[in-house]
Amino acid sequence: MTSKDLLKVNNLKVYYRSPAGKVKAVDGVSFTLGENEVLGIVGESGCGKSTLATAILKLTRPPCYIEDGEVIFDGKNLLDLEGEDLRRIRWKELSYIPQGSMNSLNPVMKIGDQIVDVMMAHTEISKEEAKEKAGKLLESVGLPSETINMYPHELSGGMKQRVIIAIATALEPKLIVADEFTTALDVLVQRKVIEFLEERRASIGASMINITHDIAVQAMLAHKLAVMYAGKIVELSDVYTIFEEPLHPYTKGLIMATPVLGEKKVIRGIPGNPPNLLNPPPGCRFYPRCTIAENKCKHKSPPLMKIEEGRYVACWKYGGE
Amino acid sequence: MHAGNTEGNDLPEKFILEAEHLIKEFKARGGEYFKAVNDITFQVPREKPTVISLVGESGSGKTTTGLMVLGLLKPTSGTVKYEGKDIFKMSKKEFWEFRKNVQAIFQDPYEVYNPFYKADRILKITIKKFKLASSESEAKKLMVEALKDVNLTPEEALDKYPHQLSGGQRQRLMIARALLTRPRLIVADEPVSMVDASLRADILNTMLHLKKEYNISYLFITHDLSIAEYFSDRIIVMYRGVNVENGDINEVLSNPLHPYVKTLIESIPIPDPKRRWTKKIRFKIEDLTKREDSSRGCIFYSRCPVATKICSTKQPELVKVGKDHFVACHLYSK
Repeated sequence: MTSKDLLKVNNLKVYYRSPAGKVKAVDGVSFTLGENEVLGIVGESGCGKSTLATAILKLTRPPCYIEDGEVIFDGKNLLDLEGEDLRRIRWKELSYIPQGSMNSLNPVMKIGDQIVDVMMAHTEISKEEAKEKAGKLLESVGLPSETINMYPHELSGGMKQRVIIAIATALEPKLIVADEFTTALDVLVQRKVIEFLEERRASIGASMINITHDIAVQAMLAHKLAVMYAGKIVELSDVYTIFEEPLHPYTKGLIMATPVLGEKKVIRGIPGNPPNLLNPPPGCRFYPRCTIAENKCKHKSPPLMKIEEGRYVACWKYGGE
Repeated sequence: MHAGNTEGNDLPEKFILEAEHLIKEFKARGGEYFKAVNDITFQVPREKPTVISLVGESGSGKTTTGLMVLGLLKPTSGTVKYEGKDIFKMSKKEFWEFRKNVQAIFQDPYEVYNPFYKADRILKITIKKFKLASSESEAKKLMVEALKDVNLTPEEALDKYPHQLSGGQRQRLMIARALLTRPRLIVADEPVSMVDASLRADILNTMLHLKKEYNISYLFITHDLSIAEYFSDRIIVMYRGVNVENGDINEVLSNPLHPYVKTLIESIPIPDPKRRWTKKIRFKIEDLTKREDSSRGCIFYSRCPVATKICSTKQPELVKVGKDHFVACHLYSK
C-alpha cells in the first residue's frame, strides 16, 4: 500500500445465508483505490456489485454477512469498527449514494433542514452556519439557494438527485460510494447529474467508487474500471486500456453486446447464463459460457493476476499456475 | 404534417397501418388539458418489413402513442387505420382480425403474466382466442415452434410458472406469445430496457431475425438512441408529445438538425472513453420540470440554445430537409 492509497480491499467475501446454504455473492474481491481516483465497478445484475458496496461501508444486514476479508480505509480496517467509531467516520469521511436514493428524502421535511441535519449530526457547527452552508452547497450543484425552503415533492428527479449529491458531499468526505445513481434518469438529466457529481467530487478531492451496469456511463466517468462476474473481479485496469484492449472473455462479451451510437457495429450477446452463486462451479465461474475455455478452467478458478503495472485479469489464458 | 411520404395521395393499400394526426389530451390538475401526444403521423409500409422507432424521454408521449396504435386508448382526435379502416370504427370481427395482426410486447417481463398460469397456458390463451389450432396436438406444435423462434426449448419453458423463468426467458416468452398469430406489426414498448446488456443484444437480434423470417414490422418504443440506431429503419423523435424530427434512421442520426435532438445525441454516454465529454452541455435542467403551453410557439422554445423571436409565437411545422428527413424547427423553415 503506497501512501497515496486511500482504500484497500483484501480478499473480501460477502455471503448471504439461505435455507439452501451460503450464497457467495462477493467471493474474494481485492482492489486498491488511490486518492482523487474514480473506480468504476461494472457487471450485470446479480454479479455482487451492490453487495460489495454495502460491505465496504459495513452496511451489510442479515441475511447478508461478511465472511472474510479486510477493508482498509485510511489505515484502519473498517470491518473492525463498531458503533460510535463507525458512525463518526460515515458521512464525514465515507459517504454513500445508494440506488434510488433520490426517493429516500424525507417527504415532510424541507430540503434545507435535511442538509442541516446531516451537518449537525456529524460536525460541530451552529444551525445558522449550517443553513448558510446548505444554500451554498445547493448552488454548487446548480440549484437556486431557495431550494432549501422546498419539499422533495416540489423537485424533479434530476433536482432531487442533485440534492442527494449536495448531502453526500456536504462534509467533504474522502470517499464517495455511488450505486446506480443515474440509472432511472432521462439522458439529458443523467448527463447533467454526472457533470455535477464529477465537478463536486473533483473540487473536494474525494475518491469515488461508481457502481453501474452501464459500461457507457463508466466510459464517461471512471479512471479505473473493475469488471465483476458472478461475485469476482475478472478484470481491472485503466479505463482507456480496458476499452481499447479488453482481456477477459467476459469483458470482451460485455463490450461486444453494447451498441455504440454512430458506429453501426453488430452487437452480440454472451450465450448462457451466470452461474447459481449457491453452488458456483469449482473452476472459473465464466467457464460454462466461455468460448476459449480449456480443461484447466473447469477445475481451477483463476486468481486476479497482474499482467502489467495497473492491469489485472483473472483468466488462465494470460498465464499463472 | 406527414411523417414519411409527403405526397399525401398514396392509396391506403400501400400501408398496413397508418397513424394520422394523433392527438391525445389528458386533463391535468386544475381542469386544464395538456396534449400528451400532439399530432403524430406515420405509416407502416406493406412493401417490406420496417422498424419505426419512437424515441423520447419520459413524458414524451411515446407510450401513449403506442397504446393508441394498439387500439387500447382512444385518441382525442386523429385516426389509426389498419388496412385502410379506422380501428376505432371496426366491427368486432374486424377488430379481432386487427388484433391478430397487430400484437404487443411490453417492458416489464415480471408484471405481464398471471403468476398462477404456467407458460403453456399463457400461450394457449392466445391460440384459443385467435382460433389458431383445431386440435391439442396442433396447439402444441404451434407453441413449440414459437418457442423455438425465440431460442427457448419447450423443456425450458412450457411447464413452468413465470417465477421459474429468468427475466430474459420471460421476455422471450412474451415475444413467442406475440409470434403465435404471425402478426404483421408488433408494437414493442421498451422491450429491452430492463434486461442486461448481453441479453438485450440477444433479444434484439432475435427480433431482427423474426422481422426477416416472418416479415414482421415493429413500432419500437425506446428512450435509447443507440439501440434505436441498431434496430430501426426509421425514427421519430418525440419531445413533449411533438414529432420534432423524423425520417430515415441513418439520415437523421448522421445529420441531426433539431436543437433538442442535437443535445440528446451529445448527452448520450458512449461506451468509449476516447469519446468522453470534454465540455459541459448547454442545457438547463431546471427547465425540464416546467410544462408549458404548446399551443403557441415551439415546444422546445424555453430551453433552446438557439431560439429566436418567432419561436415563442409560432409553432414550427415539419419541413423536408433531406431525401427522407423532416424537422420541426424555424431554423429550417423557408
